[in-house]
Amino acid sequence: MSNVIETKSVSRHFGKDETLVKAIDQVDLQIEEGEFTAIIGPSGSGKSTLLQMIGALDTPTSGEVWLAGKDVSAMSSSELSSFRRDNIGFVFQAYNLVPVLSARENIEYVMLLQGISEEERIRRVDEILQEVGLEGREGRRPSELSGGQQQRVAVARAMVSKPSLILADEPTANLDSKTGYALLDMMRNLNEQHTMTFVFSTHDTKIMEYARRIVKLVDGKIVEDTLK
Amino acid sequence: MLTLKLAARNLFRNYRRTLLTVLSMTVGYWVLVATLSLTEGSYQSAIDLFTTQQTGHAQVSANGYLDRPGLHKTVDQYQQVIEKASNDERVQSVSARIFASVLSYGESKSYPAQLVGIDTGIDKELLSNRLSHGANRLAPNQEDYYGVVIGHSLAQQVELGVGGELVLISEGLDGSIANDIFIVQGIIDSKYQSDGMRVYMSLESAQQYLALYEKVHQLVVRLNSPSVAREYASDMRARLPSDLEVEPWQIVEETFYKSMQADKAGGHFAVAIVMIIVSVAVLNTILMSVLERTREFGVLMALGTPTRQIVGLIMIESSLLAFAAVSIGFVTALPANIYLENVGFALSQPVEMGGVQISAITGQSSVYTLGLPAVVVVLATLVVALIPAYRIAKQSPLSAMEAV
Ligand SMILES: Nc1ncnc2c1ncn2[C@@H]1O[C@H](COP(=O)(O)OP(=O)(O)OP(=O)(O)O)[C@@H](O)[C@H]1O
Ligand SMILES: [Mg+2]
Repeated sequence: MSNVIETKSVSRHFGKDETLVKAIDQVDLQIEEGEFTAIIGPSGSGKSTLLQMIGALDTPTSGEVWLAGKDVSAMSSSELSSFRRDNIGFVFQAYNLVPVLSARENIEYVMLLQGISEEERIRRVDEILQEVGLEGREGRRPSELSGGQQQRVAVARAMVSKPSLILADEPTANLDSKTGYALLDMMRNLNEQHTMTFVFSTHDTKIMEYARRIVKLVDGKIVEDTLK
Repeated sequence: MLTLKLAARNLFRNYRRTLLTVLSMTVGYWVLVATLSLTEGSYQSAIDLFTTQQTGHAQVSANGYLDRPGLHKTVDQYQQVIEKASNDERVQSVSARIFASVLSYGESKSYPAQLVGIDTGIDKELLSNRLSHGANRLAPNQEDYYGVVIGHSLAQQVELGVGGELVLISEGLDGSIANDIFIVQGIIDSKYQSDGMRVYMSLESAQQYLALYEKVHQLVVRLNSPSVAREYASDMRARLPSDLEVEPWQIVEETFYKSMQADKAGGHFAVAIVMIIVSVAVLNTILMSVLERTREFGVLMALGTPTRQIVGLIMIESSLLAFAAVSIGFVTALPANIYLENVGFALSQPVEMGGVQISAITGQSSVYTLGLPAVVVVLATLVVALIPAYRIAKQSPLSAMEAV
């Protein structure tokens, strides 16, 4: 199988001299298509920083980040923008959704940016709504949905544009544990059905149980990489 | 399409703030309309008064008279010229005038003065409202002395009141010495300063006195509207004999015209001040409404929304606000402005504008007075909205998402 993600000795430093922080320090990581991987580690270990570089939201201080066969470390900000639109689905910890758009419109959003036809958009949204268990709620605004439902909409939005990779930085951090497990359960099912690559971060030990591969970071370095 | 939908919904999201912003813009529009309307309106009524009462809208005189007036530079056989100049549907009336420099004697002192001979028919209103003493009686009395109306300063200098005998000495057209006695019948109020040293008499008495038979110095043309003066003047130049010149009031009364333009420029300054105040208020609300959504814009950018689309969203939201304000402003300002135009409000004390006393302020409804404020409000809003738009656009998606 081909690598969706490949980092080559990637580092991300913040500040300089005595305030220098090596948030990510010479990390080599490969993630193959269809993986369901958790990035874990204590607070401040660099999970978010790594996901941001893998998500083409941030560029490394040194090293290379290859995504779907392309070197994103060399892209301009507008190239990164369209690269993200076409290749990466994001689920953030919170405030994922546009408050003035309904669930359906939020899910449609990236497809609109991509210029996908209305017919196709409707078809795909209807399908994904069913898969994330939100049929009948597509007309609601985010404020009319529970936290768990909002994260489901975010997952649906991330998947519906068929990106190469879905990144979720602590997607369950704002949910109660039961809702969190349900969300992960759903994500894993979707991963299996669609062979879509998922990478998420967490520091909840129970949540990491859902992963098939666990990459542990400490002080910006990979200290453990286990496949189950 | 998506951007428009987002923009419209964002505006309804905090409808109270939206309403407040629109309202402040509307008030700005009103103030602008009122300022422009009243300046234009008083400007127009000053022109109307000044031109109809005094100068007319266009003037015919001998070539070179305007630059260097002289007794000899006359419009000859002026009745025929009047006929030609009146033969135009834009014309209301044409009246003749005579000017000369004279030396005036009163009780003991002598003073130089300016003689003005006027058509007592057409120009009979010229003096009536401006007298502080006496009456507008230019006809000869029982002893065959012609009456004159003189300026306030002259009356003081020569120490004459109503009924006094004024002796005028000048040169006649034939080279003779013009010398005659006139009876002061009226004195012009001191607030008409430009009339201060003038002696008004009837055209026929001036003609007799100066031996100007069949000749005058100037024809005053009153038109249906001051705005066609330039057109009329250039048409007439072609139609009248080539030894005559025709000029519109803007040229003849250059000083008056310039002072009006300067008044108007002062009005524009007021407009600029109002605009700055409105812009600051609008900037404040737009800035707040954009910056508090920084995180949201960050998410949109992370999802791959191009920066120009975000900027477009902010600009569209602001233009919607401006268009709403201008629409509401127009619909409400129009009737108010029409009222101002037709009724206006009376001033407790008349004010002077370019030598004319204005006793009521009126407005003007025109594309200029109602349209320019609309353009100004919309443009100012767009310029102001560029500031938060730029602040968002230069942020990275990450830093925007991290914003509180
Ligand atoms: N923009 C930044 N400027 C300076 N330092 C930063 C910045 N972003 C992250 N860091 C630092 O980099 C290190 C890694 O941060 P990161 O957010 O990646 O950790 P994390 O593993 O996601 O932590 P958490 O579990 O708390 O989310 C931390 O020491 C953090 O202070
Ligand atoms: Mg983090």
